[in-house]
Amino acid sequence: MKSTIISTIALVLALTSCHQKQFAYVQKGKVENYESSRIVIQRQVSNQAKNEIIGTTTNDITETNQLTASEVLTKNVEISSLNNNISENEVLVYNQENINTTFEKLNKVEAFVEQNTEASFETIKNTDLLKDIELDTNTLDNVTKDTELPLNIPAFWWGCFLGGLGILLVYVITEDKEQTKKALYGCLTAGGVVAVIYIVLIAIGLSAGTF
Amino acid sequence: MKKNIFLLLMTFILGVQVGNAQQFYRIKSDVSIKDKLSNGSFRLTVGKVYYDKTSLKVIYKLTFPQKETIIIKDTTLYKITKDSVSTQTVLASNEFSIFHLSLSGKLADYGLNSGNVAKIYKISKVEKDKDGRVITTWSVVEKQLMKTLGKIKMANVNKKLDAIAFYDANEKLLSQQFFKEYSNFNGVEFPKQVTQISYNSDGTQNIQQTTYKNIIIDQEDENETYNYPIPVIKSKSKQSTKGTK
Repeated sequence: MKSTIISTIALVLALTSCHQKQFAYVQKGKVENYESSRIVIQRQVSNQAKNEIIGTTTNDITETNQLTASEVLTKNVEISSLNNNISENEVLVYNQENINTTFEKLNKVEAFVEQNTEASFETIKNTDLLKDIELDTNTLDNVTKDTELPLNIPAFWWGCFLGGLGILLVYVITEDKEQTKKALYGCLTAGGVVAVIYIVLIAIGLSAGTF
Repeated sequence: MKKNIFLLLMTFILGVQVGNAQQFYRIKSDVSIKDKLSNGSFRLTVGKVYYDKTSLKVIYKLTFPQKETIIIKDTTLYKITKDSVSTQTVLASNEFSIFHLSLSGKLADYGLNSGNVAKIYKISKVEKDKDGRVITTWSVVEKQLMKTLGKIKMANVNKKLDAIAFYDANEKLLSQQFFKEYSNFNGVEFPKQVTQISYNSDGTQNIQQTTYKNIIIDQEDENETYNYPIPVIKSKSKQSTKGTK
């Protein structure tokens, strides 16, 4: 009996220790997790040298929860944009010519619709106005953007992977009770799964001790 | 004589304070939204948009591609057509819409310096570009969000927001927005043209250009539109029968 109790306690302590170590490594970015795998994917498609700089800055996070602006300033490394071949200097430059060319054909449709306020898609769909344009008539996506959480990860998984932080993040970004509730369910599910694993392991430990 | 001067001075000071404290609460505009989607197709949406800051409600009365009303309140979007009402959850808060930011005088910094966001972002760098624009970089200071959110860069001309760029945590560009053709409407600076380029994860991009015309600030009529009743939806299904409260 004694040996069973001792072996169970040892098993629980070992698991707790492992879990804490794993958590600490994840915090330091040393363990492959979702975030680091994203970085790996990013590395495959972008310039390696630039990514090495990013890797350094990602791991160079101080222990404080909030950095002062000056601390951030010292840590701020000028890195060119990693995609679209748009450099940091060009990213805020408006290319009017390019935009005008893009909407050249649609501008004609727009001008017609503005002059003919009763015009609808039905009334112009078979006219020359739409001869060279494929017009999508779904208006919802036009008036709303950002209908997804960051990285397109559902609220449930934010809660599941990041626990309390995930719930907080979903709340701050969405300010939506329903989404926050989903994140909470994710957090509870993750907690439940961990609890079940512990119980199963303890049960295995106990049964092993009995035999 | 002294008393008169004192009264005049007090009236002037009070007048200045009241003037500074003027709160704008409504905006109406003709709107035209053009999209070029990543699949090569286009979208065109034309109509009028109404925003009431007190109720935080955006109402689109669209005429093209078809007549419909779209209401965005809190995180729910209601699409009302002749025959039906459908709903959709939206995560973009109206408090960060161009309408709210303009009426509140917060468009210059995109509202990054107020509310919950002020705890997340801080200015990390200020510089001037070759055209004399003020370029400000905002970095995430909340440690736990550093792996999720990225920096924001913005350019200001004469204290007006000219361009803004959003990055993800890996310094990957997510979107650019350009605010052009500002006009002052009864004290509200509003850009009549907003262009957004969004980058998808597969490298493709969507381009959207919104044009505002006939802008009216603090309109006192058309109350029935600003106070458009929110439809009652029995279940949170995507499509439901029409009903208003």
